[in-house]
Amino acid sequence: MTVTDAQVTALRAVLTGDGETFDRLGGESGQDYGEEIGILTATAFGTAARHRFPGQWSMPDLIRFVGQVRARDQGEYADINASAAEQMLRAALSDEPMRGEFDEAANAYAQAVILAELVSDLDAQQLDAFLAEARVQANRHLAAHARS
Amino acid sequence: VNVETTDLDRSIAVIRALLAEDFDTYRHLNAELGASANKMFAVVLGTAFTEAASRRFGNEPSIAEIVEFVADARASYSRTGEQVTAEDAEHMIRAALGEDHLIDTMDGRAMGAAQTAMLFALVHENGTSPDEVDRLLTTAAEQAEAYLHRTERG
Repeated sequence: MTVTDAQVTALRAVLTGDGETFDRLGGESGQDYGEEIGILTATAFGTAARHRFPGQWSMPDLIRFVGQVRARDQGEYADINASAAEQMLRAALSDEPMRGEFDEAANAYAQAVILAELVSDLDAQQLDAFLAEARVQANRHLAAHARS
Repeated sequence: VNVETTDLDRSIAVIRALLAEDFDTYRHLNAELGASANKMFAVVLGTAFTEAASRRFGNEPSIAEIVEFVADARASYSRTGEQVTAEDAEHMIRAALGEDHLIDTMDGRAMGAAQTAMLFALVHENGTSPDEVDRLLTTAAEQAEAYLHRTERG
C-alpha cells in the first residue's frame, strides 16, 4: 500500500479549506480515504509540529498555541478538544504515545485544524513540497509496517 | 460559638491564603478543615469564583475571550496546565456566567480544582490589590451565607 495522488490532494484540500475538492474526490473514489491518508496526515502533523516548535519547547508553549487557534476568528474553532490537541502536539514532539483517551472524531478534527494552522504560513509551492515530503515518509512507514 | 460562622471564617482564611500566594498557610489551613468546614469551603469557593468570573467577563462574554484567558492562565501556571484541562476550566467559567448545564457531568474534585486554579488566575491577572481581594471575599461570604440559608429553608 502506498499513498495515492488522490489522498495527497484530499489532505491538501483539507488544509486549504477546499471542501469542494475534498467532497468530489470522496465521491469519485466511492469510499472513504483509507488508512493511508491517516498515516499521511500523522506524518505531516509530526513534521509540521517539529518545524513550528524546533528545539526546546514546553507544555505552556503548546497550551498557548492551541488556545490561540481555538480563540481565533471569534472562537470559530473553540469546539476543538483542547486536551486532544495539546496531547497530540506533545506526542508528535516527544515521540511518545498520546496521553489520555479521546474519541476518533475529536482526534481527527483537532488534528486537521491544528495541522492547517501549522502549515498556514506556507505558500502553494511550499505546501506542495511539504506534502510531497510527508508522502515519502508515509510510504516509508507503510512499507516498514507491511514487512513487519 | 456559632459553628457555621466559624466554618465560614476558616473557609475564607483558606481562600485568602491562596490568593495571597501564602501556599504553606493555604495547605496547612486546607488540611485542617473538617467535614462540615469542607462543605462550607466548597460553597465559599464557588461564590468567590462566580463573583470573580462575573467581574472579569460580565454578562455576555465571548467564547474566544474565555478560551484565551484559560489558555493564558494554564500556560502561566504550569502545574495548573497539567492538573486542570482547558475544557474543565472553560466550562466552570461559562457555568458561573449562566451555562449551568456544562458542568452537569463534571465530578466534584475536577470542579474544585478548576475553580481554585481559575479563581487564582482571575485575581492575579491584573494584580488585584489586597483591598479588592477583601471586598471579593466579603461579597463571597455574604453570598455563601445567603445560599446556605436558602438551602436550609428549602
